[in-house]
Amino acid sequence: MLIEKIAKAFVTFLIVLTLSLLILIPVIVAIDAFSPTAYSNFPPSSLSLRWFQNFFGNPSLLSSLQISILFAAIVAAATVTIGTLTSYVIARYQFKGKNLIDALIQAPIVFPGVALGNALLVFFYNSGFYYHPAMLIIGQTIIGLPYVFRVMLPSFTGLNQSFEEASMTLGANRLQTFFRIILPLVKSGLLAGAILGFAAAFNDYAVSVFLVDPTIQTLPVQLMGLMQTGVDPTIAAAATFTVIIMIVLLFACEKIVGIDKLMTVVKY
Amino acid sequence: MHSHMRFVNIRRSTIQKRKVKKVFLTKSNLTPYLLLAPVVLLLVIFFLIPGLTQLSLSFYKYLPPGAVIGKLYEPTFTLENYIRYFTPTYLNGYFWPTIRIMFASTAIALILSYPVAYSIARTTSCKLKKIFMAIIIAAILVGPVVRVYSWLIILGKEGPLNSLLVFFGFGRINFLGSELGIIIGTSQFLLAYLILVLSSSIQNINPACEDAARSLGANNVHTFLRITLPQSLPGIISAVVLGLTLSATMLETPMVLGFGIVQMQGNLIYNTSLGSVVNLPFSSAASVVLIIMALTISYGVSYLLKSQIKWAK
Repeated sequence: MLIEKIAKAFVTFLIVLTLSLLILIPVIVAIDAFSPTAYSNFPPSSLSLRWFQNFFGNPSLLSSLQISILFAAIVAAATVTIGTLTSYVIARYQFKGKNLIDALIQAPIVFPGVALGNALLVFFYNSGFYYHPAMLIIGQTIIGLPYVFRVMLPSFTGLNQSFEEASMTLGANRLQTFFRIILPLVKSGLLAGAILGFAAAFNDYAVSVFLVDPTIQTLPVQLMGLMQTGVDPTIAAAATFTVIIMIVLLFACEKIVGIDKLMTVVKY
Repeated sequence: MHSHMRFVNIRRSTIQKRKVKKVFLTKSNLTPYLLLAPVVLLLVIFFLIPGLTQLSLSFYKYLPPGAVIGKLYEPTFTLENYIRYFTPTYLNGYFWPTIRIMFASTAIALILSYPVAYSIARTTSCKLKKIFMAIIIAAILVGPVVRVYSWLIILGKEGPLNSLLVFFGFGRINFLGSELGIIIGTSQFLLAYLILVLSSSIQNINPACEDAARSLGANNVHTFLRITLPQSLPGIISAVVLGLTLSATMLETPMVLGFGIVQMQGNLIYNTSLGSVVNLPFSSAASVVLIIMALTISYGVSYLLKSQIKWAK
C-alpha cells in the first residue's frame, strides 16, 4: 500500500519535527551561551564561558536573579498554603456556591495575562499603592494559584475519608488530624504544586512587567528589556541558567513524586 | 374545610423549610465558608475588583499630560476610547494581525501536535511515555524569555534556518518583523499545551474500535479518518479553544519577534500603559477588547465546530 507508506512517513516526519521543536528551544539558547563571539554566528566554532562570567559579574542581573528566586519562593509558599486550604475544603465539604468558588479560583487562567497586569496596574494606581514589592507578589500569586490548585485538587479528592475519621475517633482533634494525617498523605500534591507555583512566578513576564518597580526588577523583565536592544550572549547565559533551575526542579519532582503529578496542569 | 386543610399544609411546609434553613446555618456548616474566606477575599480584592476597575476606567475620559496636574484621566462617561480603537489605524495595526496570527498558529500547532498526542496516548511502553511527558513538561516550564531569545537566533537573517534555506537553494526570508516569524514562535509555544489536551482525549477512545475496523479490512489511513479522527473531535475542539485563547494573549513573542513592525493586541496594551505616552483609559479599553475577543472567538469557534459535528451526524 503506497498511500499507507506515504502517510506513515509523513506522520513520522511530523512527530520528529514536533519533538525537535520542543527540545530545540533551550538547546539553541545553551549553545549560544557557550559561543566565543558576541555576534551570534551559529553554530559556534569553539566553546567559551565568558558570557557566564559576564552574567555572574553583572551586579544588576545578579540582583534581579536573587529577587526572582526570592519572590518565586514566597509565591510558591503562598500559593501552596492557599491551594492546600482550598483543595481540602472543596474536596471535603458539600456546600452551596461550591461551583461559584471553583470558577472564581480557576478564572485567572482564562483571563489574559496582559489584561490582568493592566487591571492590577490600574487598580494599584487608583489606590495609591504604586510600585510596591507586595504588588508583584500578589500579582504572581493570582496567576500561579489556579495552576497550583489544579495540580493539588486530585490528591485531596483521592483521599480516603476513613483515615480522617479513624484519627478523630482515636482522639485527635481537627488540627492534629490535618497536620498529622492529611498533610503527609497529600505531600506529593504539595510538592508538585510548589514546583508549579515557583515556575509560574519565576518565569512570568506578562503580569510582572506591569507591576515591577524600575529599581527592583525580576530577571525575565530585565532580560526582555535587554533583548529589545539586540542579541547578546549574556542574555543566553542568564536564560540557560533559568533552564538549569527548571530542569533541577523537574528532576526533583520526578525523583520524589513522579512527573505525571504535573500533567493535570492543562485541563480544558 | 378543604381549603383550610390546604392552608395548614402550606403553613406546615414553610415551618419545615425554616427548620431546614436553621439546620443548614449551624456552626459546622459554616466551616467551609470560614475556611475559604481568605482565598475568596484575596481573589475578590485583587482579581475581581481590579477587573471591574479596568472595565470602568475604559469608559473614562483621557487627560493629556499636563492638562490637570497629577491626573491621567477624569471620571466622566465617554465611549471615545472604544470609538478610537475601532478606527483603521488600530484595527489594521493590532486587531487583524492578532486574528490572523491566532488562527494560523492554532492550525499549525494542531496538525503538529496530533501525531505526538496520538503516540503518547497509544504507546504501551511506560518508559517512552515518561520521556514524552518529560519533554512536554520541560517545554512548559521553560520560560517565555528563553523561548523568545531562541527564536531570535533561529529566525535571524544569518540564523540557522536561513542558512538551511540557502543550503537547499532557496532565498533568505525575513522572518523577524513579519507575521510569519510570530506565527512560527506562537505555534511552537502552543505545542506542549495542545499535546496534553489531545492525548488525554485520545486516551479515552477505546482502541478496540480501531482494531475492529482493521480486522474488517480497513487500512490504517481509513481507520484513522473514519474511526479515530471523528471520535477525537471533542478533544480537538478543546485544543482549538485553548490554542486560540493562548495565542490571542501573546505578549513576549510579538514584542521581540515583531521588531515593532508587526504588533498584536498585547503590544497595544503594553504600549499604552507602559510606553512613552501613558493613556490608561485607552489601555483599559484595549484590555477589555482583548478579553472579549479571546473569549468570543474561541467559544464561538467551538460552538460552530460542535454544531457542524451534529449536522454531520
